[in-house]
Amino acid sequence: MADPATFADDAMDLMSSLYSAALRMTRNPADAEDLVQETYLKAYRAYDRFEAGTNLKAWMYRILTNTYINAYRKKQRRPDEQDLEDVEDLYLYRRIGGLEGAALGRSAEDELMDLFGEAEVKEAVEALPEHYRLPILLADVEGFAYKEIAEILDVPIGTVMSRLHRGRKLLQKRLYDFAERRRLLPDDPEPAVVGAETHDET
Amino acid sequence: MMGNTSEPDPCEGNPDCQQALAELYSFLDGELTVQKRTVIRTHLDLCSPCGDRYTFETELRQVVSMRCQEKVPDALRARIAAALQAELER
Repeated sequence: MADPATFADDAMDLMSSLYSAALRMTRNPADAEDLVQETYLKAYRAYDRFEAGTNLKAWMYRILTNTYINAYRKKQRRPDEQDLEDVEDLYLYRRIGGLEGAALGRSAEDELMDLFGEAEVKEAVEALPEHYRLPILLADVEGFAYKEIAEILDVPIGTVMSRLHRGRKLLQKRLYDFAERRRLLPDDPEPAVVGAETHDET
Repeated sequence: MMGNTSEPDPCEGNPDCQQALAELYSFLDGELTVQKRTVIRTHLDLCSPCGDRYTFETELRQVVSMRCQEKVPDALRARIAAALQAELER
C-alpha cells in the first residue's frame, strides 16, 4: 500500500509525460490541462490502493486513459479501413530509406528530424484514429510493454499488437504524405499545384 | 533514393531475413525472448539490408517520440500542486 503523503514526490516527475500524452489525446491544450489535473486528483484519492513497488507510471496512465475515454473523448468516426489496404510494411523505409546516405557525415536521425518537424509529427499522430493513436502513444512515445498497454487500455495483448501494426503503417503513410506534400523530399517528380492543398491552420 | 522498388531485394526468399522482418517490431518493442533476440541481433550484424531497415525504424521511432514531448506549462504545475494541497487539507 502506498502512502498518500508521498504521492506528490512520487508522481510529479511524470507530469511532462502525462501532459504530452494528454495533448495528443485531446488535441487541445485547455482540455489536456484539465485532463492532467483530474488525473492527478483521482490518482491522489486512490493512492492508498496503489500497490507500492508496481509501476506508478503505468497506473497513472491507466487513470489518464480512463478519464479521457469517459469524459473527453469526442464521438469517433469509424476508421477508414480502406486507407490501410494498400499500405505495405516498412512504408516509409521503402520510400525514403536511402536518404541516410544522401548527406555524408549526418546521421539518419538528423535527416529524419529535418524531414519531420514537430508540427508534422504531432499532426500525423493526432490524425490517427483513436484506437490506433492510444497504443502508438503508449508504445512508441512512452515505451510501455505490450502487457502494460493491454492493462492500461483494458484490451487483450493480441489486440494491442494488431492495433500497433496497423497504426504504425497508417502513421508512416501520413508522415510520408506530409513530407511529399510539403515538397521536402528531394526527387519529387511533380511539384504540387499551388492552391491544390488544403489550407493549413498552422 | 526514392523507393527503388525496381531493384531486386537481396533478402527475398531468405528465411533468416524473412524472420528478421517478421520480428522487427517485436524486437524494437523489446518483446522477444533473450534467445530469439540474440538470433535476430546476429542476423542484423551479418545482413546489411536488414540492419538498415532496423536502424531506420529505430531512428524513426526516436524522432516521433522526441517530437511528441511537451513542456508542462508552469501554470498547470502550480494548479496541480495547489489542488493536491487543498485535497490534503480537506
